[in-house]
Amino acid sequence: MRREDPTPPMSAHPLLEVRNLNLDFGSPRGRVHALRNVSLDVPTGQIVGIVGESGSGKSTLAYTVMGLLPENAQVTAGSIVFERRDLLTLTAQARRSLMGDRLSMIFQDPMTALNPVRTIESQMIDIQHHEQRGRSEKRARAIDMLKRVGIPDPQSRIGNYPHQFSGGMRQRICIAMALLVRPSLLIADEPTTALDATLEVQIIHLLKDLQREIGCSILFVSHHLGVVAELCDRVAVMYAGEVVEQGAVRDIFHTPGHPYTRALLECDPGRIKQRTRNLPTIPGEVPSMLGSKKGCIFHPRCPHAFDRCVYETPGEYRVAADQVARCHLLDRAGMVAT
Amino acid sequence: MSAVLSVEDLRVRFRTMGSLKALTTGTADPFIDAVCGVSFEIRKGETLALVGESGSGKSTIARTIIGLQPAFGGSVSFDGQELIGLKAAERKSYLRRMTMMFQDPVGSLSPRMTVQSLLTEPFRIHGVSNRDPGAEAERLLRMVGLPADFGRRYPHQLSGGQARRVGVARALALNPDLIIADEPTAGLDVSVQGEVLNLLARLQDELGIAILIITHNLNVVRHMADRMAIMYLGRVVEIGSTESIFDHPRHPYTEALLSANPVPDPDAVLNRIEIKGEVPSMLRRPTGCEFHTRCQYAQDICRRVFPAPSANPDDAGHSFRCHFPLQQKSQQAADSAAAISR
Repeated sequence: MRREDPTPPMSAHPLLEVRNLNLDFGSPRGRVHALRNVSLDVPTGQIVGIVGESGSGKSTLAYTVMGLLPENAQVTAGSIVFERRDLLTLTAQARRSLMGDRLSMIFQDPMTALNPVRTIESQMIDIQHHEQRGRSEKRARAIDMLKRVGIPDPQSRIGNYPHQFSGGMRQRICIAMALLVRPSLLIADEPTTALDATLEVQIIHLLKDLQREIGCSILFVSHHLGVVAELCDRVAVMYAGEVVEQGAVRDIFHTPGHPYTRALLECDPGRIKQRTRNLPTIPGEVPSMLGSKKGCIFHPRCPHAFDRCVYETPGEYRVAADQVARCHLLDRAGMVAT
Repeated sequence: MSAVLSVEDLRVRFRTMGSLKALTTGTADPFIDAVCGVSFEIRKGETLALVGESGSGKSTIARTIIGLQPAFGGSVSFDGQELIGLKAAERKSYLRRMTMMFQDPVGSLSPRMTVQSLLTEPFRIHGVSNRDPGAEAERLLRMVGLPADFGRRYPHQLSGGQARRVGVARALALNPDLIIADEPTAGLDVSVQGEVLNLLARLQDELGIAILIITHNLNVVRHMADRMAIMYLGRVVEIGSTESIFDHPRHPYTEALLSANPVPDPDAVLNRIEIKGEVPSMLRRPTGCEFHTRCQYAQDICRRVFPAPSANPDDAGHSFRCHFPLQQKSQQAADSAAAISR
């Protein structure tokens, strides 16, 4: 219903604006600062990738936007503005009306994302509960969408149970379900990690085609640099709960500004064309996120660290027109007011 | 150099239903062939990679080689000794010299044992009692670059990369001749992945171990493996040296698999060959060449006749099963006329 209303022009504002988000997890050993001062924009109609290693907080960020956090999580500061409303201050009911309507999500594991004891048909009709349509119309839309994502013979397969589909087919069904409601923001948490390489490529192309068709934005969480380079318009690089660098995908991959981004790109064996028995690595370990941290989060592993990195947390510096990084080495370029 | 391991025409079958159900449903052959006539060999100090998508039978081959899975036919010989049909007790002395690193780095370590007891477990199992467990654990930990005090830790106190190192150390405990590494980098981040691969490469150079790597990660294969075998539906469709396969794939499936490897560069020129559909079920194997349902070059003969293995004219070690192999780049110009008339 709401969708037929003339929407105010929002091009000046990004669809999703995360500002200075801080999030802690309570644990027996103290508070774990899983997200620290995370700021991120998802412009309308763009695909924004979040890359980082495991434990960098990229999935936590996606789950926070979606409001799917466990009970021991606590947002201590910041805001998540989606379509000009702060998701963190909305009532539970108002927030629930957004989920599965304006916001939807694809999960990492297609094997467990569907209810095993109900047919695809009933799950795909259920997900349209925000729509005021008849059951047969909803079913027809579901069949249409299944055809669109490449499920052969959707008329009869829609009555099947999840176990009757392969992994790739199930991920296609999850994508079909997430996009059936025509969301304005789709959150995809490592949607291709559980799939084989040839399927991964198919799913990426499918996502990109559907994104263009529907015109939604996608927040795409992945640790696979190749997939992000191929799919995304913008990238945010996360390390130990912080966004260390973000910007347009070309800038980040061609002229990375932060030493961590550089190291991460150098590590990827996909970039090394010459056969080698000695692959580059990032020495050291990801720091523990317990307790408060002083200085730059990457300084213990950074080859260029100097005194200032140890005691002063770096702000955002501009690297290129559309690229910012948190590193003191960029100080000469001048700090971005945040 | 002689082969450490040679696998010939290996076949592994799994039962899909009970004999009663097979009788009532009239199924004459209630089995699937998970591994179907696979042959390869690994020489001393060499690395062979088995590459393929999930369900192509890579891990089943590994499990059959170390005897976790009975073979239906064919032969697995280790250092000249046939292992198929050997009794468990007779097999044990060979298992000392051939160890396996399992896929899940943390899950393959018992959560109730310390790292030291995990590392010295192979000695206990194989009755090597004349060594000091503490000193041995320390030696192994040093070998894989972990501090000696890690011996007192439990697996849950290790990160993924550390657990993988412990797995490598454990595989090295008895100075094996062959390590079978099932997805050695699965679930590891790129920065840690490099560490584990460098470690394996270094130990291989120092100790002359042969390694069988099972993986779907082509980037790993390119840097680690001397030779590679591409598997599809339980068969090897192409085998040869890593360089020659990466440079001149001859089988269309190999070509597609190599091009389905997203490069971390937004401007990479993508001449991607996208293959349609999914891997067919082993229950209903396609006739003829099993890849014809997804192959863009498929002709009538591919649907009828199973292709025999053929080798590269100038490289006998590179063989493939395809009726219409892709042209080698150098020959392409010369052969294009022939290809059209064909």
